[in-house]
Amino acid sequence: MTDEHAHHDPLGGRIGMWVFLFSEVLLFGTLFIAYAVDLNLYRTAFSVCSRNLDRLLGAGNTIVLLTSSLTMALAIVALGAGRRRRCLGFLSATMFLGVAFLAVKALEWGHKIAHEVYPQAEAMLRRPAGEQTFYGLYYIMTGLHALHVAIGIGAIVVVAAMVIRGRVSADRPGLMQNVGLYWHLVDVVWIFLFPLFYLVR
Amino acid sequence: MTHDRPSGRLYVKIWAALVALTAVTVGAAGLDLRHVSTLTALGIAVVKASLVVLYFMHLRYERAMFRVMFLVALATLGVFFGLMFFDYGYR
Repeated sequence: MTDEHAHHDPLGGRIGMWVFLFSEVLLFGTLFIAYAVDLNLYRTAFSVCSRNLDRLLGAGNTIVLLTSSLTMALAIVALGAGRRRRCLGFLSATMFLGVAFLAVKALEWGHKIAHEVYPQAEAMLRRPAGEQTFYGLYYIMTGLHALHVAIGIGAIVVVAAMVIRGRVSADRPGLMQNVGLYWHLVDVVWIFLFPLFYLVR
Repeated sequence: MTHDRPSGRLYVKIWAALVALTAVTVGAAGLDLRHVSTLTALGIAVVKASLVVLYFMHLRYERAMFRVMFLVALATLGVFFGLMFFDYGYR
């Protein structure tokens, strides 16, 4: 006889998610350490390059992700109140905002790439070392972050499907809470990425 | 969950604070004060991150064990930062 609930351990699941998030903190954290050293080495170049990033788009994307964290939190509140349609509405909003973030990012990258501002481009290789370092870090860190956003959107799709099928509900909210934790961490990473790349003076 | 979740209304207030702090960060960067700007921007980022972690990620309402785990993770990262600067600073 198998008991479906034999391995249902919401607390254990949440602890596991937090431990995974700590590994994410260390993953991005070490990149931030590299950034800190390079900022120190190439302060002027970083300031010059930072001005070439669109501050409004960056700020806008920050608001987008902050709002997506709100909608994610509200989706969990709605789930707890048993309001499934409301929950799915907020999950959809979160997904939409995540996609919007990626769209803006693609726009920014596309613009830079069109101007030969990408690692190993001919025009790039003629730039000073500090500028090459800035853009190298920019592509790696925002790229890794964007990958995390994309994965998060996928996870939200899965959770939404499980809400529809009743596998995630007010009685079993664990999976959505964990996906929420992941999503908020992605937001936190961007909270630090934004000033360090867009607002260096 | 050890305690009940905060209400939707509190989440909206936190969000409003986060948006306001973002505006302050952008404004402060316009002052062009080099190191002060960077420290200010980072300081505000830490406040914003704390709001997200404490409220959206529910850490404020979890049992103490979670907060301890989180601080240990941050301390570990801090050690990495420290070791890097001990190395780099004395080259």
